[in-house]
Parts: sequence; structure tokens; C-alpha cells
Amino acid sequence: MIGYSEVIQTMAAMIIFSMILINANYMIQRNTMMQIDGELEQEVISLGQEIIEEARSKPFDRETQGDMPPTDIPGGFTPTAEFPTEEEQETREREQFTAFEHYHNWSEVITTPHGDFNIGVEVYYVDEDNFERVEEQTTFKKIEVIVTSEFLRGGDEPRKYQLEFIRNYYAE
Amino acid sequence: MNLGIVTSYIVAGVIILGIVAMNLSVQNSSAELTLTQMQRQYVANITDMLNDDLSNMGYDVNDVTRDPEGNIKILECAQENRISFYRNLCETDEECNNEDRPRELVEWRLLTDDPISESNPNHRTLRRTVTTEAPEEEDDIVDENNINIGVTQFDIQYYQTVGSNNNVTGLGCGSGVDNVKQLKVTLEVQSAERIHHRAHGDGRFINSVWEKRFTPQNLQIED
Repeated sequence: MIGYSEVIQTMAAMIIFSMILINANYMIQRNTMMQIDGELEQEVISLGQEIIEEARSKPFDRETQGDMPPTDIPGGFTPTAEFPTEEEQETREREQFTAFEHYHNWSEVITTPHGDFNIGVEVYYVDEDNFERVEEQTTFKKIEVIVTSEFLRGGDEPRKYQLEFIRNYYAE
Repeated sequence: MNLGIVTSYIVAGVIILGIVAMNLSVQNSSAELTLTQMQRQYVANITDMLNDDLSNMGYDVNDVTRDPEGNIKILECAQENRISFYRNLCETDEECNNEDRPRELVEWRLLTDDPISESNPNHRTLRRTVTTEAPEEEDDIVDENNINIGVTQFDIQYYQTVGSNNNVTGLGCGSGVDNVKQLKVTLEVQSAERIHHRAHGDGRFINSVWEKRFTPQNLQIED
């Protein structure tokens, strides 16, 4: 005859064991997620770096492409209002860019061995003292590359990875 | 026989089987994590060198040395598994014979012929060679490093337009490599050991892939 105490002890043992199993499974799952995140983040950094390197290889401004720089520096540089808009970028290819600010508002989906990554770029002038965004021309420009992937998520939204670089006209 | 004892034995058996299975899973997961970290570290070690070598091709120690007016070549070979380029460039005989700054030819090459590992037949040697051109009548100094840490792929694609999606093939060595503006390197490293998720089957190698498109500043200077 089985007493109630044995049944209760057995059930308690199984509950404790189930909790240990759930914890172990959670740990394994988390390890796997971290492995995948690490591998994809490696790709994110490479993509961000390659866009920044590429933009740095272009002249600082469309007005500095020729042999002679503008007579008025920084007033002669391209005004922020004349940077490419999102609509303009839809019809342009990356290989057509000839100046640093041509990367502004450019976005593309890049396919890699780790899946598709969305790239978005912003270029703007920054203040010479505090590197805050400003509308008027300065001798400093900042490029921000934002990379997202469907597989790198923070909650419901894809996580945004932002890589930045500040460029100075006089430090070319 | 006491039914309580029989039930206890059955429950204990189920629990022991569960513990063994859990242990195996945790062990596999830990092994996979360790191997992944190792592969990633190997990739980081190689890419540290690649990032320095490829981005700085054509540079002198202190300055850009490619003269837009001159005819100094930077890229020597531009093949799928092999790239070689100059650094510490020189222009005049006097400069090139200067013992303090001899021109160097750096070569990265995947030796695709012979497998180097019995446990993973995909492993190949990645060789980095630096040939320092010695002044006249002296032998060149060759510094050769064989990287044998599980490299299975080292592919290079070459682009003649910055940002283009169309790479060029069949460039080879010597002439014809002058117009390269960008290059994209794909590197894969695999573990020497397999991970088994089931008792049967071959298991799988842990791999880490890295790729990056380089825009070396000195390749952007127009002749």
C-alpha cells in the first residue's frame, strides 16, 4: 500500500528535478544565442568599418574634389540642405559617390554569409569644440553607420549598432 | 513486493537517465562554446594582421609614399587565394639602396594543395611572407610565417570601382592589377574537433567566418 507521504515526496523530487532541467536548458539556449550574437556582431563591425573606410577614401567635400579648395573655408563647403535626400539616394548607386557627404541618407541591404544586414548612413557637420551636430558648415564632419539584422534583436525590435567617425578637413 | 519501493526505483531510474542526458547536453554545449571562442580568437589574431597589412599597403613608416606623378606599383599579385603588395616604397636608386628603409613585398597566400591536419581535412596553411629587398649585391631577407590554426578558406575578390558589386577575376600577377581600388577578404576558420549532438553520425566542425571589404588609401591615388 502506498502512503500519501511517498507520493508527495516523489512528486516533490520530480518538481525539483524539472526545475534543474529547465535551468540547464535555459543555460544551453543562452550559450547558443550568445555564440550566434558574437558571430553576427563580428560581421556588423566589419560592415560598419568598411563603409567608414570607403567614405574616408573620398574627398572631404564635393567642393574639395578639384585641385583648388574653396576660397572660403568652411563657408564654401556644401551646405547641409544640399546633402542628398532619401528620395535622391533611391536612384543612386554607391559606386557613384564621389564625396564624403554623398553617403548621407544612403541605405542598403548587404547580403553576407551570416544573412542580410541593413545599413543606414548619416553624415553631418559637427561643432569644432564639442562635436555636437550643427547645421552650418564647419571643418568637421561626422559619419554614423547604423547596422541592423533580423537575427540580432533586443526585445521585439532589431538591435541598432552604431559606428561613428569624425573627419577633419585639415587632418587629411 | 512492496509497490512503493518498485515505484521509487522506477522514478529514481527516470531521474538518473534525465541527469545523464542533461549532463551530456551541458557538456556538449560547453564544448561548443569553448571551440567557438577559440575559433573567434584565431580569426581575431589573423584579422589583426590583415587589417594592418591591407589597409596600409603602399605606405612608408611615416607617410604616403606613392607619388601620383611616378610609376610606382603597389599591388604585385591579385589572385583568388593570394595577394602580394609593396610597402616602404622607394622611387630613386638612392632611396631603394638605403639600408634604413628598404622596400618590402608582403604576400598572403593560402596553400591549397596539402591538408595539414588529420582530424579536419579542410585545414590549410595560410602563409604570410615579407621579403625585404636588400641593397645591391646582398640577398633579400625573407620572413615567413605559416599560420596553421585551422584556416579553411581565404578568398579575395577585387573591385576596380569603389562600392561596385561586380568584382573582377583573372587578374593574376604583374600587369593588369593597377586598376584595383577595393578588395574583399573572406576568411573561414574551422575547429580541429567535431561536435556530436547525437550518439551516431559524423558530427560537425565549429567554424567562424569573417569578411571585410578594404579600401586602401594608396590604391585610390590616381596616376
